[in-house]
Amino acid sequence: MTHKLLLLVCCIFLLAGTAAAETVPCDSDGDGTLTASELATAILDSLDARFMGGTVEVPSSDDLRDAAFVYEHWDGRALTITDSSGRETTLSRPLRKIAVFNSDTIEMMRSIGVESDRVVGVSKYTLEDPTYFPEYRGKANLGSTWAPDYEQAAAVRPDAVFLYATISQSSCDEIEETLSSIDPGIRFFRFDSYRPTAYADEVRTMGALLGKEEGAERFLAFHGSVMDTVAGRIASIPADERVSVYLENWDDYKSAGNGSGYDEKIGLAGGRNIFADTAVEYPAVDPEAVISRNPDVIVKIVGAGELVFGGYGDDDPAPFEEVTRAIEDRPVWDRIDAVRDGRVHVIHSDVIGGPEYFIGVAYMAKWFYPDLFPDLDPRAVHQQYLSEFQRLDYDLEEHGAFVYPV
Amino acid sequence: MMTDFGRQEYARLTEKRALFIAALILILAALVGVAVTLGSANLPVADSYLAILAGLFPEAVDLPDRMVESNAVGIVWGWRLHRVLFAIVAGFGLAIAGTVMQGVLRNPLASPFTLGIASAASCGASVAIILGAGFLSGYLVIGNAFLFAMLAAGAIYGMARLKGMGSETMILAGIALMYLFSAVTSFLQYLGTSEKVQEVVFWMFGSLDKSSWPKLGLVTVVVVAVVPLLLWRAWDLNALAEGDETAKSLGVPVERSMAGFMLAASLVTAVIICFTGTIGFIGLVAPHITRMVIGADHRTLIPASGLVGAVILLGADCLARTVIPGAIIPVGIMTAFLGIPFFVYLFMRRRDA
Amino acid sequence: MNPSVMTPRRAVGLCILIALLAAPATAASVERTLTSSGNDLTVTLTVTDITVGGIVETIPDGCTWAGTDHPENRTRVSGQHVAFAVVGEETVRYRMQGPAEAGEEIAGTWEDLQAGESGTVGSDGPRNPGEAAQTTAPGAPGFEWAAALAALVVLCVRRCGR
Repeated sequence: MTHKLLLLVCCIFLLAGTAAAETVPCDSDGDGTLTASELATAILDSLDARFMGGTVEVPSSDDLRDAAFVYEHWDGRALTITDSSGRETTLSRPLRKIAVFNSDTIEMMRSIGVESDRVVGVSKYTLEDPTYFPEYRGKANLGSTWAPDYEQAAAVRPDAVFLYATISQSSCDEIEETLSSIDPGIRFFRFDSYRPTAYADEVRTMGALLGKEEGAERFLAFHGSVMDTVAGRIASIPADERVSVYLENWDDYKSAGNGSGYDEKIGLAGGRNIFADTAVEYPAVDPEAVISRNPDVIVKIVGAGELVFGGYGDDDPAPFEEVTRAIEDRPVWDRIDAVRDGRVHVIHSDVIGGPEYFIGVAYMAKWFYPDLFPDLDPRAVHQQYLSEFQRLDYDLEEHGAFVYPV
Repeated sequence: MMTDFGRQEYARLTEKRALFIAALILILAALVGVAVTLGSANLPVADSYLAILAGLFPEAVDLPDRMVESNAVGIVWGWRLHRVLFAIVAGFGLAIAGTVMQGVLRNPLASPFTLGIASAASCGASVAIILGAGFLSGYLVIGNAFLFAMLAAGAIYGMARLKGMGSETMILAGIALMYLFSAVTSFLQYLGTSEKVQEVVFWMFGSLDKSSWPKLGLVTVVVVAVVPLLLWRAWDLNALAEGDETAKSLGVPVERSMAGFMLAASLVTAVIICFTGTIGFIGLVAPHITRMVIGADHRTLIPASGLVGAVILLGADCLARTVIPGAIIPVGIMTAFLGIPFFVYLFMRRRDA
Repeated sequence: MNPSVMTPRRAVGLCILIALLAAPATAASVERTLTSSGNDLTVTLTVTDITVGGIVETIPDGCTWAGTDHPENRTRVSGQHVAFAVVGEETVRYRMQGPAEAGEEIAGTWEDLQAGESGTVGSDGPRNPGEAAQTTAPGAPGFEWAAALAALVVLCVRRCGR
């Protein structure tokens, strides 16, 4: 433990000149609230010293910019944020250099309008997807949550690190512990950015944290317009009249059981998962069980495992059709209602997992109840998400393969 | 006279051993000097050394601005230094565990891995990662890995007590356990989601990324406590290596000694791999190399192979961090790659004998 | 960063930055309009898209300061300079005593503390958009550096020895 003490002494010695005070910047009376007049005085002092030959003690330009942010976005007070793991953090300055280990969080940040210059490091998965994250190409490579590159993470001198909240908790805890011992000043925030139940809260929390409250509300209005419409219309359907669904992921006969994300999303779209009673999260099911439970609709997910095709980087819809035929050709499966009625659908994991899950829910709702959602156009929703909120120049008419039948 | 010749030979051997150990210490020191400067933060060499000094004597050192900006002190003291020291202690521990096991079991292929201890630790880690169940809340993976490893050691001891404490019994029991725990691990991987399986696989690669000063302290304490005990009883190990009957006739309490040595070796292995994951080949290769140079007297074999293990692991870690720019290969993979040419060499050498 | 020091390297870097950055939807700016009646000049600064910022105006010689409507605790006069702190206002109005032509010679700079931009009063758009580009770290000398140096020394010795 002597080493930690030495490190602490070191840091105090080093930080002596740049005292990282925990008070709101430019708060001259120290009451914890930055008033307009305190801010004005700080601005005048700074302008005075730089342009008018003044000799007053000047707040640094960083202090001034931080003070402007706190005044504008946080009402002049320090902000207390509760992240998705329940941890409360109090900030008196905005975050300027963020290291983000979670690609889904980058996407969510982009939805609310956060510019890429505030992010100093991203995970290797973000860098491996230049089609979707072109403006993050030059950022430092932080590795992944399981194999983080601590030196890169330390070298970019972040003031905050964003990690997962419910996945890989032990790995995230280790990242926190190690980075804290390298630089005790780093703050840590846990955001999942893909779970439907926490989605709206996380968007709002991020909006407040990063000064993008308006962007957050605008995005939530868009997200809500889809999810609330779906929820509202399916609410009137009684439980026993709900469409029964068999969901299969990219591995044959691997379905989703109770408590899994896909099970939740089927429910959100108004369907009834025929394996919702299975305790295992991702059970390997018996094909005969599917036949005997006779689902009305079959949803097949592609995009990983051996079915790596489609998505944003691939324009070819042919493999989707092959997958559909393969399912329909399974022995005795032509007895299943879904196959007989031609209600076998294929969807790519990009639009049913992650922060785009609501697009997947829209597709599923339309597949389950086409009469209830004549005006719902999931592809238009997807396009609006990409163009307006992700600021990507990506035309779904020309590119990408996400669902079948289209 | 023959005794003079014997004494001369023995003196030469002792000198050789001393030189070998001294050379190893020097190589280790040089490796430490290099290892501390390696890393993707690209700190200048001088900065790394200055950072070490600054950490030890904060008042005396005046840091240049670029080092404050790059946080060189934080990177070196918070990340690099304890990792390098951990590599040394872990390599040392794994090597002496392997040496002891090879001596007790009289089998040059014995290692913590052939006895199922590593498979047990992997199984424990899988239980913690995939099922989220464990003994020490907050330290699920570490606690499980350690406990399952000691469980395996206990099982081997139990089975050996039942069937007689022979080396064959122990090896057979160990192999059975290895398969058992591997099967359970595979089953857990089948149940788990792809992220969790990936986590388990990463754990099993073996890496030094998870080291920290407290962990280093714990492992050092265990190794420092065990090594003197082993050295004190090293002569018994020499006797055991000759055979059970020979050892008995020399007055060595065979069953108790074997149990004690196996316990010590298992403890050191368990406490190391619960933090690092399964790093293989050190316990297998280091004793062989050392035996080839200085012979099989365990009084010097144990510390010397410990040093060889430290050099191998630290060297492998340096390679693992630099061979692919921007990526850190898990050190267990690197040691596996280093082990292969060694075995090829052994294989070729066999032909001559 | 002192925005008034424009080294050539910084200018090139900024031009590249300007070229690369997508143009902001609405550019922050401050426009100046003048009305005069006799010796009284009224200057109106119209602030667009700056929620928190500062403006410094330099009054030309021969003119004298005659007051402002801007709140007193947000105004500071020093010699021929006047500084305004802008916290939510959209117009800043002040008066000067002087000839009407002097109005053309008023110079001013503005700063947007939210966006980190600054510019000249009256011109279009910010002059220094965005934060200064991150300076790349100098190449870290390592063992390769020492080896290269050694090679150079050897080369040098050989050359000099000829």
